[in-house]
Amino acid sequence: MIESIPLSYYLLLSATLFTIGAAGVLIRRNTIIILMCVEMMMNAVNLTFIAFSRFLDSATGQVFVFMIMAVAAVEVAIGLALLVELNRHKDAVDINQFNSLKG
Amino acid sequence: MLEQIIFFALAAVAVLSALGVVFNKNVVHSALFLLLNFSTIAFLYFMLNAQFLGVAQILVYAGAIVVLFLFVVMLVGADVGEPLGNWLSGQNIFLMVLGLILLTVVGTAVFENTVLGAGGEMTPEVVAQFGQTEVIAAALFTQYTLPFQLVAVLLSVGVIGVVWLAQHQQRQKFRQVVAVLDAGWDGESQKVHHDKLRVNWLRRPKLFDFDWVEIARATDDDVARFTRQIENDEDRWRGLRYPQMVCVVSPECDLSESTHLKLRQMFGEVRTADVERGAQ
Amino acid sequence: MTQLIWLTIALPVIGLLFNGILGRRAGYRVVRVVGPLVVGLAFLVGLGAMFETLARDGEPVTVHLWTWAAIGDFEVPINLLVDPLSVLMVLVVTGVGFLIHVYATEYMIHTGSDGHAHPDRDYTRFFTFLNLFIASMLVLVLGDNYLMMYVGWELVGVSSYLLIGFWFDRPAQEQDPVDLGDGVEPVKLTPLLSPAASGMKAFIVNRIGDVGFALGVFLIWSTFGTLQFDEVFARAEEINSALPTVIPWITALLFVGAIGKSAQLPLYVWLPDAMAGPTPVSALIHAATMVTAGVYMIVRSNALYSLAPGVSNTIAVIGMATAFFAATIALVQTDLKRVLAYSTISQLGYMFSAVGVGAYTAGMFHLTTHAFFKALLFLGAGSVMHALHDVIDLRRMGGLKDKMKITWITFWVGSLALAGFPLMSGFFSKDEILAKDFEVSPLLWFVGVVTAGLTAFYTFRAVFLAFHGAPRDRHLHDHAHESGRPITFALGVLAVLALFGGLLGLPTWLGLPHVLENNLEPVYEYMHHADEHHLSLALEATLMAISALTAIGGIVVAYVFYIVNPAIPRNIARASRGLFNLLANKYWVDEIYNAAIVQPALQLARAMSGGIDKGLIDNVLVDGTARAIGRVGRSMSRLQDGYVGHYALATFIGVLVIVSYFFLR
Repeated sequence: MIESIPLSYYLLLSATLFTIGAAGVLIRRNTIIILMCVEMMMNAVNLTFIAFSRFLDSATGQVFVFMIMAVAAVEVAIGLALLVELNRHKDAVDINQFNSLKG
Repeated sequence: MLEQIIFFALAAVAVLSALGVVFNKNVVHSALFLLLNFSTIAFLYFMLNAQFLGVAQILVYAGAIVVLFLFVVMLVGADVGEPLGNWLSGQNIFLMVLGLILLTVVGTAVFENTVLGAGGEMTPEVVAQFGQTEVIAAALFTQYTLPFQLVAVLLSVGVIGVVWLAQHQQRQKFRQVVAVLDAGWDGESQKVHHDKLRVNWLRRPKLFDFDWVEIARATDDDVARFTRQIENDEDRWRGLRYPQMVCVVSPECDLSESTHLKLRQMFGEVRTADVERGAQ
Repeated sequence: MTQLIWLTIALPVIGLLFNGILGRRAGYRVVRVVGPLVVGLAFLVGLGAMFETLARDGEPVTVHLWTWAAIGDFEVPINLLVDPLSVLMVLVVTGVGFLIHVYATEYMIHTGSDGHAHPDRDYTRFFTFLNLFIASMLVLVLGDNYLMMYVGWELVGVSSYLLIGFWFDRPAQEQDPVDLGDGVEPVKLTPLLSPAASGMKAFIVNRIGDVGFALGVFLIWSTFGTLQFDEVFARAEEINSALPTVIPWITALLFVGAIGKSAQLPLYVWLPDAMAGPTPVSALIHAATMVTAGVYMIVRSNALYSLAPGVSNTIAVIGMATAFFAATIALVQTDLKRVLAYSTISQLGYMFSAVGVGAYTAGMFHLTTHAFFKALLFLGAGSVMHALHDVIDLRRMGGLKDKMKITWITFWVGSLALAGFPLMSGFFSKDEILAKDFEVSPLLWFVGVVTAGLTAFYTFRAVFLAFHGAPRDRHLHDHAHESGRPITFALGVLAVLALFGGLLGLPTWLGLPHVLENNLEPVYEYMHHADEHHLSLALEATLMAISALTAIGGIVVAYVFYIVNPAIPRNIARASRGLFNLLANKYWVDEIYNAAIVQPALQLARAMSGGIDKGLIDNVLVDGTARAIGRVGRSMSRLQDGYVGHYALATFIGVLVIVSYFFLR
């Protein structure tokens, strides 16, 4: 099958989205936004998997994405539950308030 | 040609919505940009002949996850969070440069390398014959049975974890935590009155997150030790709150003028009033 | 009984376990039965084995018990070797050991100042250790390979250490200076070491020898690939012709071990101090059995030693030098047990001179008779000590013969045997050694005869000072009494053995049967026979007459010196005060060793412990590592500031580096 859009376009798009997500994680201090950025990064990865799956005619990539989606759902659920709990404890969603991990 | 136009359009929307998520003051707006981002990616999946996952993407991400985010924003309050300050601070520019470097590196790699790999079993002919969902299901339930089971276990654990967290926060929900200095308080070091937790610092002389101070029966020395510990507190968050706190001193408590002065310096307001006795 | 020979080891082990674990609860009345009983039963087993061995003409039998270790083709079987030599040693060890155990049941009961008898505070511990010693010694003599011999060798060393330091809480003792009469400064004597220090000294000096022994065993292993006696001896001749230097090295190294264990020059210094232990220990370990292990080892290894004439000659010379050297010290000792201790060193020297000239049977013969009469003498000395409340200074004794008849008579028997009085056991064995020495070197013989004269003199000096003449300490004399039944029983039996032990080896040149010679023949199966030349009958008779006369002469001189005219020895001592001082203080050997070896070693040890161990290893390496890690950890922990954003940044940079590396390399 002749593909009018090469694989590298998808990969570059995916990399762009991933980098934006990563920059968001680093720049933002609002924990909710940070979680959103993490989700975006994961989506970028998913896009890579699907693109490879398409160009290599393999089901494996799609299976992986399927699993990642499940994991992401769990991650968001737990992450947000923790966030709510932290918010009650510290009355904040600022990531810099949660610094009790320090050595 | 049409396909390329559609791709670039979707790509542009995806990038712009991603930027919108990151650089947006309002959390609700960010969530909505996230929804847009997820949806565009779902369309890209369709373009890549991954219709099953495209639908799953819309259901799971655009549906469940974004809604969950919005719920949390509702619970926590959209107004909390950082004041949207100077985007172009030195630190942020440094971080953006880092991001650009990563992008450059990956981009170079993408364009300079050819992806090699054996063709898989999911050729268009097979898909046409059996249907896409069936092919994925076949892989999922034969080759990847064990990971699939593990994902199921993970989901269960996630559910249980969230339930536990929710219950836990129910139990510890105190509207107010009071640090009490009461030398005549026997028995347990803490008492619960409705939604108020009273902890006798004299029996448990460690710092904890309190938001009200009551001095019932204590000597100058006791108070001096208490204030010294607060002065040495390294927790920035607590340190910010002490100057806003109320300290109630019982009139029975015979404290020297210098101790009173110290308390006034330390806490936002020092009242003299009757204090509830611990050992009632 | 041959197949049951392991019982001789197992029985003392049972006694050791019983006494060690249950002894204290059972009480001393049970221990005093169990302790000697197990050794007595072991003796009976040994006796049975002896009759069977005699019945099959001394054919060696190997009793396989189990395999201790098998590593590749290196196998250590636990085998016991039953041949005439080991049976002889088993009989000596268990027989004399049994008598000494019986003796000790009484000896370890002290009469207090209130007149009441009460057992020693550690009565059970004493018998536990004594049983341990018997078991260890039997492992040494019954093992059929050098490894078991080495194990036994070390075990007897440990038992010896434990028993010398038995009264570990007793302090060091000052000795009264020797008064030489008016106008001459008294001769000061060095203080005696405490029992604990004596035990350590014995152990450490023995260690020096044991290093040599261990190296010898290693060399045997690397040369022969086996440690089994029969295999080593069978191939000794072949190996010697292929590698002519290796057998001398093996024998020399093994002999270093014997020097330590059997108290020869220059490692004899521990034995006199070992007298700090209880007297039964001195009799059993430091006279009759353990110290003869070196002689046994050389006789056992006769196949090797006969191939190394140079080493053998050295052994003979060292042995005779030791004999003479120790005898001169014994002349002036004031402590009865120390006289006997130097005498033991001296007699061991005789044995080594015998095995050195290839007269292995003569060595074993003297070993056996010496075990009888020297054990007897020590036990007699112990009996005197027991009567005099632990006083052992000859200068406070005298006139004891009427108070302790049995002790007196048996002591006389033992002394006559030691002095080599005609027809006593020591006469035959010593004469045989001297005759063999004469065959090799008349000079060796001459020194031996002189030493024999000295031996007779110092022995009877002790006898006359202790038992004859007027009591020197009236108070002690009044309170002296004969010792109890078990003591006199042991003395009686040993006196009979000392009297008739000579029957084991009557002179062959008179046509009389030499029991040991005839029966030990299988032991020398692999011995390398050098040219033998026999002395003429007349020469043999002359030599015997000379040694008999020397012995009698020594006794007579002692009689004149200490009974007839006690002024003579004092005048001689006054005239040659310097020599007397030298002898009384043992040639200052301990002091020389202390200055030349012990103090430098201690200083080195202190420098090592303070400088290397504490300074370098503890402070720099161990603590320094910990400190460095702590410091790095503290500085690194500042990176852990708790801000999730910083952690994420670190992760991001890490990813960036890795990705760049993989994509851009």
